Amino acid sequence: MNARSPGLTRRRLLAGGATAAGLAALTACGARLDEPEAVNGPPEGPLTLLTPIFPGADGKALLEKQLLPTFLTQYPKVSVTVDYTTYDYLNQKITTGLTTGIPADVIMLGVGWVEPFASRQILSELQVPADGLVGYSESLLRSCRLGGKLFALPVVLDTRFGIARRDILAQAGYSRPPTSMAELRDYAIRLTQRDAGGKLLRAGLDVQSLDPRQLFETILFAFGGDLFRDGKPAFNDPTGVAALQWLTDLQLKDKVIDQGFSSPKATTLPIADGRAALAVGHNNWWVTTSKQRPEVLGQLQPFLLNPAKPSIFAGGTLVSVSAASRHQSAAQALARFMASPDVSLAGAAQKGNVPALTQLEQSAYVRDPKHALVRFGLENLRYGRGEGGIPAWLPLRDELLATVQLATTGRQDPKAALDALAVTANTAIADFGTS
Amino acid sequence: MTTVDVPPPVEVARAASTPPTSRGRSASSRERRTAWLMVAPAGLHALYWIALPVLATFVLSATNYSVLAPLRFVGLGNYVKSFEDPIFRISIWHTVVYTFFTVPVSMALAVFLAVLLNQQIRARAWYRAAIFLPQVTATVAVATVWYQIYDPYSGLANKLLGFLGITGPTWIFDPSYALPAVIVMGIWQGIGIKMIIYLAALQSIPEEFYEAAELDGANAWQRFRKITLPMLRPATLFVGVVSIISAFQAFDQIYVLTRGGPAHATTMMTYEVYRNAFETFQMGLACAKSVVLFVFLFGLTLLNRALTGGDDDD
Repeated sequence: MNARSPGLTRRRLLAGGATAAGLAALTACGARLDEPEAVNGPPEGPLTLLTPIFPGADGKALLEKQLLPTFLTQYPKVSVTVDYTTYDYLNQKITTGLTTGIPADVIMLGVGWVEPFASRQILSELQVPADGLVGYSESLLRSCRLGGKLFALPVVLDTRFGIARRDILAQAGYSRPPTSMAELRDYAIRLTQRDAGGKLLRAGLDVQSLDPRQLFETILFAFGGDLFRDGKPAFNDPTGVAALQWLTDLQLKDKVIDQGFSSPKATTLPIADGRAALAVGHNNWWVTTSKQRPEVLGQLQPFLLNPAKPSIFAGGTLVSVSAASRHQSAAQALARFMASPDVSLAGAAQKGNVPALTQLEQSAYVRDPKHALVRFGLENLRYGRGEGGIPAWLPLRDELLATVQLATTGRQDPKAALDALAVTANTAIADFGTS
Repeated sequence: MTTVDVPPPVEVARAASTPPTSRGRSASSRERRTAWLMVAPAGLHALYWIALPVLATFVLSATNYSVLAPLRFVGLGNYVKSFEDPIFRISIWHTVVYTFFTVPVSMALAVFLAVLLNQQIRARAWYRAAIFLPQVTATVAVATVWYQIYDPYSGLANKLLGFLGITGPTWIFDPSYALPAVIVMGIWQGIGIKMIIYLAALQSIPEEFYEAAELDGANAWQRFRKITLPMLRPATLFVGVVSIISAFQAFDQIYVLTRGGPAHATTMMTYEVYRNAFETFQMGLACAKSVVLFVFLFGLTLLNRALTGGDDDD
């Protein structure tokens, strides 16, 4: 090609490229669509729903064949397209939706996500009737509010607490689970079993089958600590340091479990097959146990880690409405429907989770003797503590995980690790405030 | 980031030997237009999917773009922040270490296997296919299998070590062993394609060279050192540079196997970019880190062209 060809000079190419890049960048920066319709208008129009629950073909069938038809019958002028994902990919889905300017109308997200999104006007305030919040624990609703406004409703919950093997405790002469953090440590040490060569046969306390971040948060809450207080890091105060020190000492000093003995990705649970006597566990472990060792399901005994400062970790899935939705009225109606007792119960039952409404305590699913862990989670929701709490939480989640790993693998002193995280957190909070 | 060479339009006009009469000029102009039209689909594809995103990455790297916040120009702030970030610095180091170990070791093993499988041995095709198989298997599947292999209690790695009386480490759960564990998997997965390239290169070495050397009394080792290795030099250069670039882009195995952990022990540049973009929503920062990675890869690509002679293959 002749470089001086009048049709396409290098300068024109560059100018065209720069213009196109600028356009692409503008597009990428979340251009808003048309003005949304009034919240109080008649519910109508096509909606998209992004959900990390209802996985697989069974989940799709449940949602689209059993649950959504009720909503669509009530609102015949509304249609719903469901975008299924998992929590592993939820971030990407939300990010790409926002960057392209077409987020889903109704977004199901995790505890801790409301503050960052609501503070940036990405979520709409939810319109809920006066009696619409009956049945939700106030501790849960805290995760759904920002500045006194409600931006989400809980649907299903993932709770974490202590789980004991009743039979193993009885064999060791214990008639009840531990009732304090000191006693829990003592139990864990005494219940640990190794062979003559030092190989771990039974962990006294399984602290490896949960995600390290959420495990630490569960322990922190049991110690009576907070992640943040008044918008500032509180996880590195003496209580937070004591919690991480306790967790580190259990593994490195007391050796109640060895590194790699279990992991959140493991397909089997040590407490189910007797390789652990106690665990900090999840309410849905009854699902794995009933597949792995159904005969021990009745031996799993849930307990509060520290009854003197009662707490359970309460994560879960919330439902919210995108501020960019063009069909606000319909989206609000769908969000309320997704948080209704029927959907909450069906969603919880499918994954072995806890429904978010306390009136479901009497449901057959919760009362089923096999679902003692679910029942315990629901009965103790008043003690529920969630993660997050500040708008700058999202950049810190991963860092907290790495901090816990640094301490529990002996790479860094717990106090130094938490202090370093506090510096990062303060920077993130300042950055979020100025951006 | 990937670069694609878009072939320039065929310069038919320049090649024409006829004098530039007005009729000839008109014909050559038509041919030029035809050539551009033929190139247009590929060109537009490259422009839309490669050039624009690359340009947008450069533009966004100078902003505080975070999905959640309004866009604001921050100049070189994200670059400063990147290099002040200890995790990004360690991710660069991990990437270099990963590359340093995976590339030469897998190349040496690939040459060894290629030479072996270039001999007349039984079931040669089966061996070749078996060694190449990891290359065409999804990395996610491969990493999932290696996750099981590295299980400290029930995994194959420690079972084998236990058979030899050695207590194995906890591999990907121990910050000291996690990166070596990822490197071993990287070596294993990378051998297949390198072996195939070396096999092709070996088969292009004229048999006469070996016959002449044998007549001169050269033994097998001497023939390998004096004939095979020098004749494999162009292939080695190609495999080396392409493998280095590929190692710098390692992501899937980290994502599946370790998620950059434990305690950032296996975090690499690509994973750090992903983490910033999709886990922490700091898109501007992720773009700046992408540009740093791009500079690394661009430098390596230039090196590749310099060492292999670029397009001057006539």
